[in-house]
Amino acid sequence: MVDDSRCVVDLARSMLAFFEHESCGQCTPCREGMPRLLRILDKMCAFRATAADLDLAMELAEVMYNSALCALGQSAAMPLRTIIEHFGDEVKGHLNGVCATGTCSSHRVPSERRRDAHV
Amino acid sequence: MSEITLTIDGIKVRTSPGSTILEAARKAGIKIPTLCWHEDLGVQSVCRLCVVEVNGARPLQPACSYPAADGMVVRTNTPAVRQARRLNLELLLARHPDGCLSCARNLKCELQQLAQDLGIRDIRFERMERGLPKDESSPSLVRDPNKCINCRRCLEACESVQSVATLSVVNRGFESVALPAFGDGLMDAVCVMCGQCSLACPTGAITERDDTERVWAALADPRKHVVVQTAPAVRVSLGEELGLPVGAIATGKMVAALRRLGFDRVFDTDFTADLTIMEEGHELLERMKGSGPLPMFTSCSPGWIKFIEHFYPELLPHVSTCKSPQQMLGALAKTFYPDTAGIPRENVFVVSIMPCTAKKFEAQRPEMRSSGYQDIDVVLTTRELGRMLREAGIDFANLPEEEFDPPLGMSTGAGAIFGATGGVMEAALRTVYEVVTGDELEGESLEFHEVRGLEGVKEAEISLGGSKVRVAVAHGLSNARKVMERVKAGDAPWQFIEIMCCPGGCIGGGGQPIGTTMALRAQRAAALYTADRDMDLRSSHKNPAVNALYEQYLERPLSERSHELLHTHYTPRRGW
Ligand code: SF4
Ligand code: SF4
Ligand code: SF4
Ligand code: SF4
Ligand code: SF4
Ligand code: FES
Repeated sequence: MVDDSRCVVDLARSMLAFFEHESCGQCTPCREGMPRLLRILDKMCAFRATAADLDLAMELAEVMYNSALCALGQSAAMPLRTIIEHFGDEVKGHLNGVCATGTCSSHRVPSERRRDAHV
Repeated sequence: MSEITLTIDGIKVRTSPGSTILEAARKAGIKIPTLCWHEDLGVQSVCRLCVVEVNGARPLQPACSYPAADGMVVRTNTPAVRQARRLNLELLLARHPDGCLSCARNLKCELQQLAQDLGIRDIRFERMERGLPKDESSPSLVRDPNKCINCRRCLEACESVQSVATLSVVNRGFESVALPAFGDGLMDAVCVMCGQCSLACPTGAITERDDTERVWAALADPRKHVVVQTAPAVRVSLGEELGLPVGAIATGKMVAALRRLGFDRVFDTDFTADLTIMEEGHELLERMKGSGPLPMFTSCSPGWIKFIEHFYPELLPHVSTCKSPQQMLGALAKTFYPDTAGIPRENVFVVSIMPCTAKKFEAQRPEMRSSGYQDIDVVLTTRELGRMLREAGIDFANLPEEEFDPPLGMSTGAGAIFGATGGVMEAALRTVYEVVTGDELEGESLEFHEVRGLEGVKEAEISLGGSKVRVAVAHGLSNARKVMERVKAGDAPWQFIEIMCCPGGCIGGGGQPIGTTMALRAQRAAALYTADRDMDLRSSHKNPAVNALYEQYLERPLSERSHELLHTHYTPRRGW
């Protein structure tokens, strides 16, 4: 599944969308944090995220890992942490309108989010 | 091991095994922020604001549920802890309306307090409010689900404390929110209107319905003769609501304050508490002679009445037919009082000051129209009266003490203790004992300590000369349910059972000051017992105004007119 043709940010985004769907909603970091994180990744895939957004995403990922009630919320942030660690340049490229695989673009519509209009 | 020692922020703390980090930290004077935790409720561990670092490890752990252990090293203010706590709070705030200035909970809100304590100045997420409609279906309570922060404390209060389970979390993930089941409004749900959920809620998501405007309007209407009654429990909580110490007895100041607001007469629900004892005591004696099923259950608590109507309709014949003291006073205030004072009945407007949200519902019951009008026009909770007095700029602490008005303002200590669990039973026993044995109770012997206190179910056996009467007292509906199950199973050795819907009785009612806990309930109850001890008359049948009412108007307990004005019937309702 993971090969050179797949954008890592987009991959993290779809993994997170899965986790978000599974969130039961009991605890604050997972219930509230996951959709916010997903929105930032949406913005990155549409080249609309700023460096501050990426910082906030990192902080969300850390807090979800540190304080979620169960393994789902704790591990949901792993994809983002992993791609930053291993593909930092590719991730940061998205802040400057560059997607190494050409998957992402500024025309891209955000993923099927509930409140897309706000993104 | 009898004690364990752990280190919290460098301080050695000794605590008992089984205590949580939160409990241990409080012993050391370290305040860890909490939001879903409440000292009287089961632990939820969902808000994740209380996270701390344990032995340097990740992930962090919630102090409210994580057990303290010997040798453990806990840190409560590391960068990771502060980051998690602040970000989680920020996430909640980003979901929450910015409505503090016009919120009923303003300055009494735990969410607001935390935002202040943690110094949150910037919310980095776009605000995404739920946009759900307010639920204004109930005459007692208003729910604003947009202010819900998913702490589940209301669920815990409604399900574990009250065993009603009206509320549940609906939807999953980001859309989850605490709502009545099946999307009903509270009025259509199986809800007893007790308001314990509103006391449990840390925010303004569940509040009393504010009826103060209707009272202001009546007070300003020159055609209206506006009378007010005050429930037993309010005299020991209104002062607290207005900044006096917990347990302050503010009876005289409360009367003075009500006169300053412009009420034409200030009557006392304690008067009809005494009257209730006369009616209910005689009803019990009649039932003991075979006129109706035993055990007999008390009927003064409308939350309890709605509970039994929903959950044990088959036991309704056991419920005393006496109206609650509030409704007895309402019926008299619109019949006996205007008829003897020469005021047209239709001009009288009756306001009740109650510790209770369920009384707002009770006042609207179709049975409660003995005068031909709705007997009680408006019920205000302790919190709402506090609001009116603050708005009117009344300097409560410095008011003089004033007396209630005749004829419905005279009462005894027996009426006062109605506000605490066991109080109705104790008042009844004082009267039944003297009526049956002819002996006089005095001083200590008037006090039935077996039925006092905050134990969930209390039992006592009282000898009445030759015979004995066995009684039980329960408060909080989960305790009531235990007693009802025994009655249903034919395993109830009692003749008389007092049930109060709210934990601690009315001193812990759903309309009492925000921040009510079991510890505060105990202090308010102690104040009522002090008020009782300070009264010259401590038994209902010695209330001269009650006796005069019988002579002039009602003839005798259980007379035809008593039945017409002071007794009622009940309605079986759908349960779950
Ligand atoms: S972390 Fe677990 S408990 Fe918390 S919302 Fe996610 S799935 Fe539910
Ligand atoms: S619930 Fe609390 S934080 Fe929310 S608007 Fe009301 S006072 Fe403010
Ligand atoms: S008012 Fe009482 S019964 Fe109704 S939802 Fe609240 S706690 Fe439950
Ligand atoms: S309504 Fe109040 S008590 Fe209930 S979950 Fe929401 S915030 Fe908590
Ligand atoms: S116990 Fe008192 S406050 Fe609670 S519902 Fe009954 S009457 Fe109201
Ligand atoms: S107070 Fe501990 S998780 Fe909410």
